[in-house]
Amino acid sequence: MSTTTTASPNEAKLWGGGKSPFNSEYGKVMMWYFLMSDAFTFGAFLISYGTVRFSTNGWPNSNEVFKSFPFAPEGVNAPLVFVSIMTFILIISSVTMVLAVHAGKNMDKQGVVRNMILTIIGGIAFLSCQAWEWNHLFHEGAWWGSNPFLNADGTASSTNFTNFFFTITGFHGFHVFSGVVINIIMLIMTLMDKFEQRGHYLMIEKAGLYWHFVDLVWVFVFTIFYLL
Amino acid sequence: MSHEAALHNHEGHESHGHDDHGHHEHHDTFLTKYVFSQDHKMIAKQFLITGMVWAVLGGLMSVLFRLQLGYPDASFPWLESILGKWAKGGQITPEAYYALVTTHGTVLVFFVLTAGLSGTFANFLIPLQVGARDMASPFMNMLSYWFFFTASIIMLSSLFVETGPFSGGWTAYPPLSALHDASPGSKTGMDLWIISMALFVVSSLLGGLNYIATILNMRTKGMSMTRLPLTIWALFFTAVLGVLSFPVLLSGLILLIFDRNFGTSFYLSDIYVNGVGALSNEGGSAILFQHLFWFLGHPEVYIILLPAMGMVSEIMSVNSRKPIFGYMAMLGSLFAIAILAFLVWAHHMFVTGLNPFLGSVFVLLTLLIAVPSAIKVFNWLTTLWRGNIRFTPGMLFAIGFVSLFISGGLTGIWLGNAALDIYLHDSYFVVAHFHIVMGVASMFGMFAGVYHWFPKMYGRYLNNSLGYIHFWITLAGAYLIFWPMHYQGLAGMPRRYFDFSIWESFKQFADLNRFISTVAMIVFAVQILFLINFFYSIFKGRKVTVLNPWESNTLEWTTPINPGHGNWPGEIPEVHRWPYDYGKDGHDFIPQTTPVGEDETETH
Amino acid sequence: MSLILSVAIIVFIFVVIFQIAKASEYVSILKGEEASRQQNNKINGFLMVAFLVLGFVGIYVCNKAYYGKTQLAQGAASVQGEKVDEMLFVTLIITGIVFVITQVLLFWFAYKYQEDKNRKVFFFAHSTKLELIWTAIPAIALTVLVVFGLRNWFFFTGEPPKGAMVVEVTGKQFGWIFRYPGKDAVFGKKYYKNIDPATNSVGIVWDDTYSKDDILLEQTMYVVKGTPVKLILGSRDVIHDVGLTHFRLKMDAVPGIPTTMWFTPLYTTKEMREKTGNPNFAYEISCDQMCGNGHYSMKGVIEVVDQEEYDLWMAKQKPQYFTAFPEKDPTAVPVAAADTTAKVATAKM
Repeated sequence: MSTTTTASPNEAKLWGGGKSPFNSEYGKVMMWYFLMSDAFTFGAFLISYGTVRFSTNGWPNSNEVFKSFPFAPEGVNAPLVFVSIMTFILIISSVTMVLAVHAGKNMDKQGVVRNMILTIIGGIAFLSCQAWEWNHLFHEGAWWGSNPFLNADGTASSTNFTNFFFTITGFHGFHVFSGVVINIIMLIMTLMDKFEQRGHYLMIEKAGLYWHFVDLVWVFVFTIFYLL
Repeated sequence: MSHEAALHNHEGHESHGHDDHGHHEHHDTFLTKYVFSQDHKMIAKQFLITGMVWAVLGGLMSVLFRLQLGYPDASFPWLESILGKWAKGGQITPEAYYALVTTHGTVLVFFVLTAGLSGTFANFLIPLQVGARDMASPFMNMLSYWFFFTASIIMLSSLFVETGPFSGGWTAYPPLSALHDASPGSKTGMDLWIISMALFVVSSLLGGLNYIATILNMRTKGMSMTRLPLTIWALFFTAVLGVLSFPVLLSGLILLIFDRNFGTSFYLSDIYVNGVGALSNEGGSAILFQHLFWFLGHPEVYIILLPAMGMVSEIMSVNSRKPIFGYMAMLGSLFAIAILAFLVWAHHMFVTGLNPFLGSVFVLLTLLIAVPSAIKVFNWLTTLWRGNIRFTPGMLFAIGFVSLFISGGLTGIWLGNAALDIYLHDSYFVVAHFHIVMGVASMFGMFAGVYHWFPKMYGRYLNNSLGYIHFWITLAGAYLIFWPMHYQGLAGMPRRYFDFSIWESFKQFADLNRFISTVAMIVFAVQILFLINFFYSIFKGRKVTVLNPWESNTLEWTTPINPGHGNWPGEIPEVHRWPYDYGKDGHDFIPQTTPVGEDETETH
Repeated sequence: MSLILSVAIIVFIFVVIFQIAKASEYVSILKGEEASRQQNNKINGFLMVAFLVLGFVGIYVCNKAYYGKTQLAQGAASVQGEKVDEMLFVTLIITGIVFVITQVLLFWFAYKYQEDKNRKVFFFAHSTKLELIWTAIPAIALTVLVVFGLRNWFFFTGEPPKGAMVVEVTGKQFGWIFRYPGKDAVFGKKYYKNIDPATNSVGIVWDDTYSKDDILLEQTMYVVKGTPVKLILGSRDVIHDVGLTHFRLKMDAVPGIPTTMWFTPLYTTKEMREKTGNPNFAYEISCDQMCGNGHYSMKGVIEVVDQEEYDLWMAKQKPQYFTAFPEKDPTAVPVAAADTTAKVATAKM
């Protein structure tokens, strides 16, 4: 029996031991597997939400619930505008993160610093928006265990609408928060020339993977919660 | 420096051997060497010993509740002096009984058979058998143990709470586990149980990520994936199972904690509690928890089983002086079991009222998983055939594992068939099945591993005679305890019953219950004998004087008798063949590090 | 005192065993590696075969002692149950054959191939043909079981035949409540917030016209021999399970999610008492899902009777509406005015 089941001799060497078959150091491999496991956590939450929602007779219309905007007069009708802006901010922060990683590959310390700062600002902006949203909804009477909104057909709604909303966006927000903290630590390490000394910015890349994951989860949450 | 260069530097650093490492001035204090160690071998021992402590506690709990089942009318004054209000008048109260049963299950499934089995052997064997100096991230590895330790402390503390530990069964179904008023055991004890389990999940994830990264990234030169010992493949699939399924349990537990303490209704709807009244929760589904729980719960039993299977393959091959039969088939069946493990969870839920069509899909997939399991059994039998068997205690436990796996696995086929499960669910038939196939078989795998690798762990041998006594009495005892339970199940006798005296249909087994309880106490006592052997031999056991006492092919036996940090004092050896060249071309064994000879027949 | 003595004896036995073991280790060191290994192999090899033989003897003895105590010996009491028993036997035979063959081979090989100076090991690493054979055979055997099983499964979980009587079963901590639909054969609506343990244990909505003749009972329910009965299951608090051992069925009772189960009983309770020779025989309902500290005490009873007895029994049952509102009961003795106002107040809940 030959050493591998695939034909190409190069692949045989790739998996032949003595090196990483993914051409990545262990930290990156671990980050990918951790992200897979975290995906299952979020997946479990979202699927639970899906099953509860579709076995319930009525559900609030998200266009009605999420129609407010900060600093605008009360009762303004801007359905999903605010959350779209939040999404836009987070996506832009992913773009700046990509730029930071790219700068790191080119050993461009200034580029890394600049883009990390932008990413952190984006993250903090997203968190602030989320905090405003939560606060606003709280003042409308929404919280874990309490749902002031009616179903689309006018009937009384289950508290699971707000239960899931706060739990899932809260869990996501916790990930954004930890991502911001990680990014700040990355920034400090960059400024302290830690990566210059090491000769590579691989840590930025790993932090970048985490940040992109957080962004991707938000896209799913936004789609499933607000759009569907 | 480019990414490429960084990568190769990391590796170059590795392959230049750690000569400096060997003479490195480590200045290990007692704390850094034995407590906050980052050496995978020490962490493995920490997992093992903590697991053993929990095994004794969990086993003791089973002796206590079997006391109630075996002697329901007797009273034991000494019980009251130990348990106080939980055994008023010398008889275990129902509250205490259910708390014991719940904690026994939780502790044995998670703390002993997952942390104690995977945690020990994955940590100990992976770097040694793949040819690495340590795990990919020794720091995360250390964290993995300390999260487990913290989880243990919290679970232990739940035993001493005023209202008692959680008592709703290790499966923790809501609404029972979600409502403080449904049972005293669902009060503070439950919150502590959830927190302990959440920390345990973190520990498992940290460990699993490390194992996967180390196996994929840090194999030594020449160690291709298909030259890995089957032990490593089993531990690899175990880690993948854990990394993907534990998070779902975590989600389920988070939702449960919210239902318990924050007024949510994820699992609750239409509830009226005696003495409290109608609750406001509406819209939730109690069955949702069961899906989330069993999505972990089923892979969990394979997380428990696979490492045992991997070690048994290894130990059987070494001690038969023959290659494991059908390496690729064994690998393929591990892979098939791992995939199917994710797809069968609802066979625990056949009688929840789920859609019958959905149920039928799970019947099909569940019976399908019997096929790779059968293949493994036949391959083990063929490994023994025309071998030259040495009966070390490790080998005995490996053979015992196969016998128990056959017995327990076959009754799984009964239960996987929904039309039979509709009768046997939640009966003693289920209890017999999972104890034989998981509680005993995997435990035998763990014992086999301990007896086989003890010389490598401690540089000494365990006492052989005690090992033989341990094996034969435990094997016979386990069968005596759990075989007759099938009959109780076929009589419809329900599980988790404190007492059967009011049941005309189930009270005919008083004598048998007494018999089982008596045997259980003897078997527990024999395990204590094993523990005495274990701890005595660490300090006073017969010393190992040869590098390779079992004449095995795998890499761990090329390290010094008491390997230090970094495992190999010089360069890490290069591998030229698979680990199963026993009896090839007339040679008794050919280690993996031996280069291929010119006139050798086909190698792997 | 006796406890200390027992512990002391156990410790003493341990010490003795331990010393013997240590001594035998010294002996084996003196004898030399080879010789002591040979002796150990001989002993354990023998024990392998002894265990195999004793094991099968044990299986036989156990079966003789306990088969009669299982339900299989009694026979099933429902149409569904007979199919379950049939399938149990088929599964037993198939798995039994595999069990015997594999355990015999395991222990026999262990004995036969124990280490021998003169034996040359047969280097046999793989055989695709063998793997295919022992993949195909189990697959076929399992397919048979799956087909058999699923046919029964769809029968059990399918719709009951027309003309089935319907009873609603509600589990609670710790007992069973049964509701019959009454003469109009329709259950009145219920809402859990209406529950009053004294007069309305399942929360019937009294405004619904169909509610007025619903009958509520605890602990014992009646069904007719030979008539299919559909049970609608629910729970008031935690998950329970309606376990019907003699009928070979069970189904969870979940709060907020109704489940169903149906069966056709074959023998009246009286007939079963004769059949089993047990005058205390009863079709017991056991709770089969952990539900709290009283889980083991939730006993219900199903009385299977013939049609006349059932009709007689049913005629004697009073709709729960009259218990909740005694002033509405035409057969009740009139009560003082003060009492009725009190009752009206609570009913308005």
